[in-house]
Amino acid sequence: MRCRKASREIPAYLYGELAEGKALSLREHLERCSACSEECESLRSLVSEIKEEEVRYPEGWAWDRYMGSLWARIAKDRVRTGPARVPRWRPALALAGALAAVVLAVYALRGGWPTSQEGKVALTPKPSEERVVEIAQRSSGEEALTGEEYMDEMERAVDESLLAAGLLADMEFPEGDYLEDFFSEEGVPNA
Amino acid sequence: MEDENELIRRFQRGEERAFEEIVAMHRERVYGLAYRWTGNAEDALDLSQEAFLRLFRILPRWKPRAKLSTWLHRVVVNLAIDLSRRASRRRSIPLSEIREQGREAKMNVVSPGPGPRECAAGGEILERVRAAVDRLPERQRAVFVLRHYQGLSMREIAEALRCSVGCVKAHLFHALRRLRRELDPLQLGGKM
Repeated sequence: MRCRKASREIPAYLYGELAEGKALSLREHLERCSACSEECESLRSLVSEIKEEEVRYPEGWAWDRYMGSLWARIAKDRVRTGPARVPRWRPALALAGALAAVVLAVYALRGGWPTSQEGKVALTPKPSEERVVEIAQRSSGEEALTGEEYMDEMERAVDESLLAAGLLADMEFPEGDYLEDFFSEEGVPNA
Repeated sequence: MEDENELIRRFQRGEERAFEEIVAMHRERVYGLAYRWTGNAEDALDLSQEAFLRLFRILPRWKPRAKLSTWLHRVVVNLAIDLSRRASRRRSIPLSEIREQGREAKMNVVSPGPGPRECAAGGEILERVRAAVDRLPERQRAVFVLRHYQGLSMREIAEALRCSVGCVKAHLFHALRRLRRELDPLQLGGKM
């Protein structure tokens, strides 16, 4: 064993972690090499003299308090990060997947991307300019539409343009409070 | 005491109380390491709780490939290093003082402080030892504390610090040499 290697093995030797074979060759080297032997002895006395510092551990009930405050910290962390323990990107990925499925379904049903007359992609048809102007005039004119009415009119205009583009089925809803058939009072879907 | 993996499985099945048993299993080692690094109970409590909070976050996805204790040691060391860095950033030292310290260090390898006579009281010697350990470079300090105070094997330290056993041996050797250089003038003689 050379000095360089011996000095690297000394700490493991001092802490009793050197395999017997290596320990034997180190001891042989130390007998031959006074420099390494001195090094080893001085480090041995250092290791034996640095006593363990006394740690002041919490006692008995203090550990209960420790656990209590840890639970409080966990609760606070849950509020901050949300209860879901799934990685944050997962819901976003699921939403993106669902949207992609809808887009692909539309693509498959229509036999290609819906296009406007100019041949551009028109996945989000806007209401016609005439319709927007009409709603704006009604809003500021005699009818004086409220904000809510204005938004309803705009939504209706958007629906009309979606219908015209064939992207929205013209659905008829049944009479009465049909939602009761599907949801309980607590809003939980019925089986 | 129940097997650690069984406790983890119970926790993963939704039994959060199993977490308390896991904490009870590791709290003394985790707190002890934090205390030895920070040197005060307040920071040790904060640091060890932060480590357990991180464990709580990761436990639902925990795969029993590594030992919890190894992982916890790594987290505490990293948190402690972060804490030390933040503390040293807060302590702004004027450049002139740094230059002066550098000049003194060149003239005298031993850092300034009370001499052997002043350090006769055991408490003061402990303080000097602590200060010398604190001054070790981060990796050397981590290896020394984990081996000397926490009693981890070199293989366990290598796993905790994600390095080779050879690297641990080298860090430990340099840490010991440095400590000897700093503490020699104290003529320890069993007082540490």
